[in-house]
Amino acid sequence: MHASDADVHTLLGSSALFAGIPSEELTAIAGELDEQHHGAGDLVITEGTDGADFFLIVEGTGAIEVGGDRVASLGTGDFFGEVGALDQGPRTASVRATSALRSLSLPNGRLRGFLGDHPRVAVNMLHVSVRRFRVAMTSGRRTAGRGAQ
Amino acid sequence: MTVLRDDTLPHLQSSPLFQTFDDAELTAMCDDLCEGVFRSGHRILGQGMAGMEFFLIVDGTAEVDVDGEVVATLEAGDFFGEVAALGEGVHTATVRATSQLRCLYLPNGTLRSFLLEHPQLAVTLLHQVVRRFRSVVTSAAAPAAG
Repeated sequence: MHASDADVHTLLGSSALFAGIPSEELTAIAGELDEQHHGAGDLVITEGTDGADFFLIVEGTGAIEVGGDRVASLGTGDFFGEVGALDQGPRTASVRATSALRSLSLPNGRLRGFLGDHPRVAVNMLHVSVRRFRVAMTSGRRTAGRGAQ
Repeated sequence: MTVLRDDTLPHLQSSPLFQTFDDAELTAMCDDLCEGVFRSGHRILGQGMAGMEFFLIVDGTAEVDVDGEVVATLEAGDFFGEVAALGEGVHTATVRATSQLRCLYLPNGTLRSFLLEHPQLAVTLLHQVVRRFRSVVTSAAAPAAG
């Protein structure tokens, strides 16, 4: 089931990740994104496995798990999967849906080109990634996956 | 610390961080950048201390230490200071010159607005930050600077 591009446009417009992006550009972006639905308890991405999809949560909640332990919660407007999507290595954490979870996603490896086309999104994402890096630096490896990915 | 504007452009042209920009854009950037020359052994930023400069090394070497332990070395083309400059303004690591070190830097707090003016730089920085994040979460040692 896929929402209309107009609906996706509205979701993007209210997301911090897409703050500052002109409306016409959001329209183009809406046309590039897939939509995924996961049920409560489903694994969306799995630590240690390959995978380069990138996700933005538009409805529902998720949990980041490292070594089977929950290290952080995610909700509407949060993104995950960027580490695997940008450097192509295995996932550094799992993300599990903790309610019905609706996400917009960029398929395997497409995030790199997407950011080149829409660099303002990279500015927004960079601020969050730097925060996640700081958490990883200051709280050590065990809770580092708190960043998500 | 002196601004040597004539010298700045070639450094930007040869830096991996600025490969996506043409000369006109790089020339405009030169006005925003300061230059610093630090003696070997001098500390450029200190873990736990406040500061929001963003540094790009153009010549020389430096080491990054966290809690007194050296976790990485830096050389021409490497950058540091982004974690504090984009976050809460407190450095997550100490960076010390291990030779005479020449840097271009964006002064206190201007990285944010600089990125909005030159968003392609954020794309390149994001890749590096993500790589550093992976290194930290997959090894006990922390390899990057903040």
